[in-house]
Amino acid sequence: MYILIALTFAALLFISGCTDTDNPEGHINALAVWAHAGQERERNTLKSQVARYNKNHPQHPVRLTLIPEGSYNAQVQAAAVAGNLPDLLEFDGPFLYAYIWQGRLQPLDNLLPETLIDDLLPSILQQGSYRDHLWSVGIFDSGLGLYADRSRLVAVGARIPTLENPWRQDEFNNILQRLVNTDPDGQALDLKLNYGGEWYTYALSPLIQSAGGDLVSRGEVYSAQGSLNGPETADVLHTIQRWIEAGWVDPNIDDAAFTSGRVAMAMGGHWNYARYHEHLGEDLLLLPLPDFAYGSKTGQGSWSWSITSNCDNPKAAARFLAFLLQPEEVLAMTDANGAVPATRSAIGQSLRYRTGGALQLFVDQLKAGYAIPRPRTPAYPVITAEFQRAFERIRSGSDVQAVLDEAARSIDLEIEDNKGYPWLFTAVERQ
Amino acid sequence: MRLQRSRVGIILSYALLTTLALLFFIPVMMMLAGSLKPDERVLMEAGSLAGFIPGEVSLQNYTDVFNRTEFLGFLFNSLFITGTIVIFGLLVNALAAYAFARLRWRGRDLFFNLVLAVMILPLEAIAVPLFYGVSLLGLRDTYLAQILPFIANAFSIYLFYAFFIGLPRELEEAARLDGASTLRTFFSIIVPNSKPVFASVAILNFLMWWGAYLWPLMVTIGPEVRPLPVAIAAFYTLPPLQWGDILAFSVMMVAPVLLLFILFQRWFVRGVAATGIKG
Repeated sequence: MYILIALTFAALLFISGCTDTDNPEGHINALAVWAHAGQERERNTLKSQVARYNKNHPQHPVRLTLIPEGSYNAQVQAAAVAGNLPDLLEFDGPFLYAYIWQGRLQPLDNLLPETLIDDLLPSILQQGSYRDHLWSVGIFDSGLGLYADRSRLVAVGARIPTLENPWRQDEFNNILQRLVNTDPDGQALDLKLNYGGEWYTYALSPLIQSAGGDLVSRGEVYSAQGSLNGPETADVLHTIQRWIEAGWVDPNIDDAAFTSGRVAMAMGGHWNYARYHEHLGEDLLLLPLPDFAYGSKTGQGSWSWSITSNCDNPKAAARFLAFLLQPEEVLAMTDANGAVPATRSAIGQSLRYRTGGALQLFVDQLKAGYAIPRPRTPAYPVITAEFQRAFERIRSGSDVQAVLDEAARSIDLEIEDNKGYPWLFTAVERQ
Repeated sequence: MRLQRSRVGIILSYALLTTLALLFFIPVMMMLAGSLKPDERVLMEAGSLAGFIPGEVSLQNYTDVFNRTEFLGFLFNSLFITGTIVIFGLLVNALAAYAFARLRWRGRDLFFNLVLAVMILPLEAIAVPLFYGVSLLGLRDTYLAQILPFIANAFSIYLFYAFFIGLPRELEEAARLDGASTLRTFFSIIVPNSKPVFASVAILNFLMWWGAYLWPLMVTIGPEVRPLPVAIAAFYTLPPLQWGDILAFSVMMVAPVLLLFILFQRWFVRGVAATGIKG
């Protein structure tokens, strides 16, 4: 037992010694930066970028903390509640408006050079702007489209669509039917049902918007009633439910439905390209999503950077952001993670994304207004959570209208509870 | 006839027990086999018998875990946090239980009932006020934040209490007659006679805090104090997920718990019998 007591005191001494040793605020001139620990190459790129920056800015070095991607939003939100945010924060783009409304961020207005702002893709500015201020910028954007096996489309006599002339809904249904008829297991489409989570909102919203629906109506005060449970949204989700029930959609449990040749078409993002190209080579096609009535639409938005209200030196933080947005740094990152470069100058130098590049479609979609940002409201975390829950039930066969009615009620209740998220509570008015 | 019937009964019960054992063992087997396979084969074979057979064994996933994460650092954090909670917990909770079981003091029953009442409160119910408390004290992102709130544990106190109350009073009376103080009696007489309950409480607390996720998620940010259950979230990135690495990480995370259980199984079973814990 005396050993136990001795151990106890030793542990106590050790714990006391460990407390507060790594408090970033302890370094007077250091810029505390939090980012998500993405895949290995992405992580290593950011680390080397920080090392390069610190070499040239010894007076305001960046102190980088990488937080696991799987728990990122929860950990950052907890830190925000405790008032412990760093100077510069990376977060998943659509969560921006919740952070703004909570008063956690500072606007970037006048902090970044005009030439740099002009160089950004419109989708980056769209995602980062709220209430006439620019709050965040991304180093890269995302691309969403339909990957297809050219030889199998040709085999069923399908036309190869373009962004200007995408497949109409009936044409798409017809091609899908023909592919199903010639497929040994009757599954022809991969909707990445295995991803779950935010993918549902990101990937299915454009189909809904193409049909004239949306997750919420986007007026002064957002509301889900009549949009999320409106006839256009319900129709699209009914159609997807029918495809799933008919066995046309591969559940893709092994994440290899397209690469193993089980399906001829796969909805996917920029991150799928390298693996798909490796398996299909020149047969790989990247196509726009089908037009369900109001033109082809696509998703946008990715990880984004903002300066927090805790930051005492926003100019130093903006300097690091401007460094990350230099063409060579943007390309270093997008070469690592495969995403769409955020600036036109970087796109011009990117083999994949420049005019004639294999993924030019993603840039065209983001530049020409085909991409629609996810709802720009502080209620977004609730909207996406409710939509994800609703789609989980719809794919399992629940009544579409009833599920959507329930989700719309929950979202509107949340918006009402927060009095429509009035702007007067935000940081800008407080400053 | 009766002999035949009892044999059939034995065969049936063994068949049932074997099925149940397999049912519990299947996920562990899949985890182990998957950790030895290339990433792309893990999910592809998960729905078939091949899911339980590693095939060509490779330790690449384990090497990847060490290369891609600071696994040893996270392992140390988990061992240190859980170990400290267990050691401090044994001391504090056993002393508290002894005071409830053996000492006479005003308000004892009231306090004991309060302790019992606390048992029904799950962490989720008190997480937010606890979080504000820890933040106000400036303890976020420290070991202390992950240890301090969990040393005193109502369930542990109850288990110690249930065991101590069943010990013969004569043991202590002999020590008292020899002039031993209360603390001396506790450490010299009660503790040596209560090894099974100490083992049970230690193992139960270890299991509980080794896998804790919600609280460390709320109070940690940096890798310096990040425990294993939060660290594994680093693998949940954009697809394709490295399932082999995730399973290798899981195997190494589960291994210390299994080892502990195997080493102290005898004590654990005795403790369970003595304190009447049911699963």
